[in-house]
Amino acid sequence: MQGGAVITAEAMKSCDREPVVSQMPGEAIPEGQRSDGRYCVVNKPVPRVDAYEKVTGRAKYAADIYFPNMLYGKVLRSRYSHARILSVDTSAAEAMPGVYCVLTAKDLPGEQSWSTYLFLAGDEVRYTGDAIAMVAAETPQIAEEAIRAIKVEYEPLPGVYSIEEALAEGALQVQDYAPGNIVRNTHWPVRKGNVEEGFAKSDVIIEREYRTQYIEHAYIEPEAAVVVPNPVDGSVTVYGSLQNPFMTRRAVAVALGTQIGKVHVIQQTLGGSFGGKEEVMGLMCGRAAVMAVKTGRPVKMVNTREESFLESAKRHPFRLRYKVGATRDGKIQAFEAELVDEGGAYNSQAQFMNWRACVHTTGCYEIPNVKVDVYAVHTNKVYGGAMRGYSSPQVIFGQESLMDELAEALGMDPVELRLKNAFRPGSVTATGHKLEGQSVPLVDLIKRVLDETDFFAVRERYRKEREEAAQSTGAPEGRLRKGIGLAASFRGCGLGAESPDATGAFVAVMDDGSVLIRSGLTDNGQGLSTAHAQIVAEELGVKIEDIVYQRVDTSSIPDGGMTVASRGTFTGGRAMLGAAREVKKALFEVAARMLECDPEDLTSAEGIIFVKGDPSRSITFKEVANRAFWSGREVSKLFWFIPPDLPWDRPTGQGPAFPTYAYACVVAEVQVDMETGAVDVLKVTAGHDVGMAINPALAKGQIYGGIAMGMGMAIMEEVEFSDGDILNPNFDEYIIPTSMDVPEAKPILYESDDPVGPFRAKSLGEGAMECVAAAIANAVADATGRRIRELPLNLERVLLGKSLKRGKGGASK
Amino acid sequence: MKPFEYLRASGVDEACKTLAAYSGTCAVIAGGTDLLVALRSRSKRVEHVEKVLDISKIRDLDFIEDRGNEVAIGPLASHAALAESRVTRKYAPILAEAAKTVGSPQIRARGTVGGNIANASPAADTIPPLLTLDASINVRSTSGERLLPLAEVFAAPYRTTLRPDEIITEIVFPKPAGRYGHSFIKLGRRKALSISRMNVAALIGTDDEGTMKDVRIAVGSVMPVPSRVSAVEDLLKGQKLTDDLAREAGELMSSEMIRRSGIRWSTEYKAPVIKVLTRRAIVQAAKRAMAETMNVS
Ligand SMILES: Cc1cc2nc3c(=O)[nH]c(=O)nc-3n(C[C@H](O)[C@H](O)[C@H](O)COP(=O)(O)OP(=O)(O)OC[C@H]3O[C@@H](n4cnc5c(N)ncnc54)[C@H](O)[C@@H]3O)c2cc1C
Repeated sequence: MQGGAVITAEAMKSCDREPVVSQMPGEAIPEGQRSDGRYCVVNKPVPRVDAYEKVTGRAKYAADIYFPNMLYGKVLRSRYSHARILSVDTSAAEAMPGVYCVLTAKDLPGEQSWSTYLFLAGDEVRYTGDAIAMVAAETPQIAEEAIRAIKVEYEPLPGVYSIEEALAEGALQVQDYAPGNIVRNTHWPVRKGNVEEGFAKSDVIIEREYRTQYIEHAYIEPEAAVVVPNPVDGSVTVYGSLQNPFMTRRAVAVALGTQIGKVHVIQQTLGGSFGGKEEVMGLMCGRAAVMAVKTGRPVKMVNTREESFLESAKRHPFRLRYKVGATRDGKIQAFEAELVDEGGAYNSQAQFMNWRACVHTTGCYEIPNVKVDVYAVHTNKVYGGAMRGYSSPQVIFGQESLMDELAEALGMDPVELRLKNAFRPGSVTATGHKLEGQSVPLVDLIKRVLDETDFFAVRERYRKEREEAAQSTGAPEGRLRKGIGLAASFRGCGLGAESPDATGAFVAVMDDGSVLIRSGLTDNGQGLSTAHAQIVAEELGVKIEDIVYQRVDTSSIPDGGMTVASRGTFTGGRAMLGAAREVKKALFEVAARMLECDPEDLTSAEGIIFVKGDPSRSITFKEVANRAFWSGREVSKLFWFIPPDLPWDRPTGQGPAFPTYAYACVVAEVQVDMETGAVDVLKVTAGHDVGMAINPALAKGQIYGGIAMGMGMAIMEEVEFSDGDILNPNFDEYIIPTSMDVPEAKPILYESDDPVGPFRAKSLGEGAMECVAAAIANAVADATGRRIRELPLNLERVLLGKSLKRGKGGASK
Repeated sequence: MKPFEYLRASGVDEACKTLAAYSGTCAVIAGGTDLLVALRSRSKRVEHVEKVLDISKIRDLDFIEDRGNEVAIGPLASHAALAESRVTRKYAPILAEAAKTVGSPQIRARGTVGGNIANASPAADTIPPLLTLDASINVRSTSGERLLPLAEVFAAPYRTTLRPDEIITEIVFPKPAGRYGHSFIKLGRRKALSISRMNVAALIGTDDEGTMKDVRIAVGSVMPVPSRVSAVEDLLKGQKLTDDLAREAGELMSSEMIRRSGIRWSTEYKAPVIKVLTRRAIVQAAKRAMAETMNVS
């Protein structure tokens, strides 16, 4: 008889544990209803597990790490966006006191790349971020001086600087292996029904073209890493600001020409990544590792902001061409699209991004006849890469603008057009995926957002105000116009059929009752460690304080893929749940013996294991953990979660693309100064189908951040080029929203009953920003009566309908 | 970052001697919010700089004073101080308002008015207001002191008429006496921490009937250097403001811009928009003048 433990009333109340245990696949709760009070730890806004170290400044970022004898690495980048390298003279740099090595491509011990971008370019540079030589020196100042002392003889070559130039007949070819400048493996078609028949049935057909811009992630912490060599066994340890430590590990192994297991990567606290700290970190760590091994000393590299702008992958610009047809009643009959993105000089993820783009091209609408072609082209500019949303924000901007334009052509309310065609349970997507066995709450979600924003009344009020203002001339206030716009989306959760979505989690119970958790997926600041801790705490029935989270260390957990595609909670959480469940099973067996009952009779909450319905028969989790350990039981588990296979037919683009989809509806309200073109985003209301919010506070945090990032994309952010040169490589001229610019933001966490994710959670991180620019663009069109089909909607575009370019090149109109 | 030697002066005389000793290779640093940016990017503007003389610890240069008919400001007065000082808020609200729009709280705390002037950026936010206040600056060197109207300080973008051995020791302007209204309008690409795409300062004195007796209008990032625009001022002087007149003033400003700055990549945008900003500034300043209860001084 072990009655010592005390159960709080709170725990008793919420400890009807059955629903949790039998939750996967989930039992029904009505869609759109919150699940408050059913859980002890998940679905609660518990503070982030890393909050205190961050707000007190104790968190260590990669640039904060120092080792005795450490050297500082720097890279010499190309002066030209396209040139042949005739000679590199490093003698002056080598002769400088304090310089320990100066290396060029011929000195690399391994290969030049683990993909297509280069650690060091040899004969030819293809964009201004290409590195030609690198230096390790006693101080950052000496390294900088040494870089300046390297002499490179170039033969400048003509380049390709826009989608149009890349596709032109006889265009110069950026990469030998990419004929016609089409980036390898990036063409993804979708064929459903027969568009010719669909257009024949249509009463209204419109054709439109939209464009989006190059965007920089603009994380607050520029790239940084330290590589420490171990001269004894030839291994290296890498400390870095990394989104994907396993990708970095592969890169470093290739750079060194060594075995993957000899590269030990430890992720540091990340000051933001958003998809950015992937390739660029592989390159940085590979270079630092080569210099560390060469000199036998630790090497630190920290990018300046300018270096970060030059080399880090950007959000791909898209040219989006559409032809869409509908019958008078607003049923869309056919949708044809050609989406071309600018891939830059090397292939960085366009092949994956474009797959996601092809799946989502037609938006969250059921359309019988679809023909989509997505492909990327090479130019002599910085390559595009992953950035929050992974092509969707660009694609949705075009497609949701198109919906408004189609509604206008039909003389129909754009909301009605959306509702008429919106996905419902049982709808078939453009890729032929019948939406069954998952929640599809889109229509109700849109209605909820319309209600909460009082959409129709506000739209009418703004319309009246505009009419009145048009009459009264003179007063500056009379030149301000308000407008409201809406955008909706669906987003495949996790990686889907794009690539293997399997991942692992490690849960280990210590003999003091604390629980160590490790994932192969990273906390990039999004709060993944907290979400994982909540999932494990909930499942084990312990307090969140009992969970100890350790950052990703590539030598202590298998490669579980990249922390991308909003899969950290959705996929990674499944692995955590699986591991916790198995550990719990072992512990309950021990507890059952101690409490003289069946393991099936037990449940747990707040660190106490007790008999269901008879909490007086209880024992602490700690006692059980201790007993289990000292009786030699396995109370740790590495759990590998493998989602079901999703077959994909590439030539037709047909297949169940994702296990489930998250839905969003965003409404933006803006005020436009008609005389200056200044757009003031007043308010953004963002409704997101989150399945269930593991942590509502963090979920809202994602939405606030998504709104800020989305408004940057909508009205101000743009990497400007003069041919291949970046004109605004720092925050004096690359403009992102400040706290003063961010609009009033209203998140709506719409919960739906979806059986796929852990505790019914769906993906949110990227969905949180993907509709925002589209909604703002629609609001600006409502306010001004003019449609601008190219982002960002900056002063010049809004006033003049076009951008003004200060540099050379580009086909931007 | 361009390497440099760091020196510090504890008084104005010492500073002048140091500058004289290292003629042409030593730059003064106050808040450093312009100079360090230029050194870091190895800008052409600091090609000659080998030494940096820190004047930020010279207490005598940090003040904002009411001197009866005049206001005197030390070059080390920060933008935050200009924005908060009772003296500027009372006698030069146009300057206080402009200072409040500079950068961010951090930049306003470090950046100084002397630095803003000496840096001579076309987009400097305190210069057009100071021009409308008819400010002059006192500059010192080992060879003595001279008083210079602010309007004569700017030679070209980022170039002043000061000699490299001179430092600004004071900014002075007469208090506007009578019924005055002001307006400072800054157009940027976002609401804060934004460099002016264009700015307009208007200080208008009227009589009780609303006739504009004294009209002072200065613009930034419109002309090659920040300047008063007398053509526009003359158009308004002696008139009562009407919508049409305000509009006409805007048109004139726009053509003055093209006349003095030529056609540039940005003109297609700036030409229509400077009309608007000028019109708005004039209307706001004139309205405020009429709403003003007479300044008793
Ligand atoms: C992020 C950021 C945002 C900014 N935003 C704005 C803005 O919104 N509006 C704006 O107008 N400016 C802005 N600036 C520019 C800058 O902050 C201001 O021009 C500031 O007033 C400069 O003052 P300082 O004391 O920092 O000058 P410093 O950098 O110390 O000096 C600037 C120049 O003036 C010279 N100098 C300084 N003091 C004297 C003196 N007493 N006598 C002679 N020469 C002197 C120096 O030698 C140097 O050439 C911004 C700068 C940054 C970095």
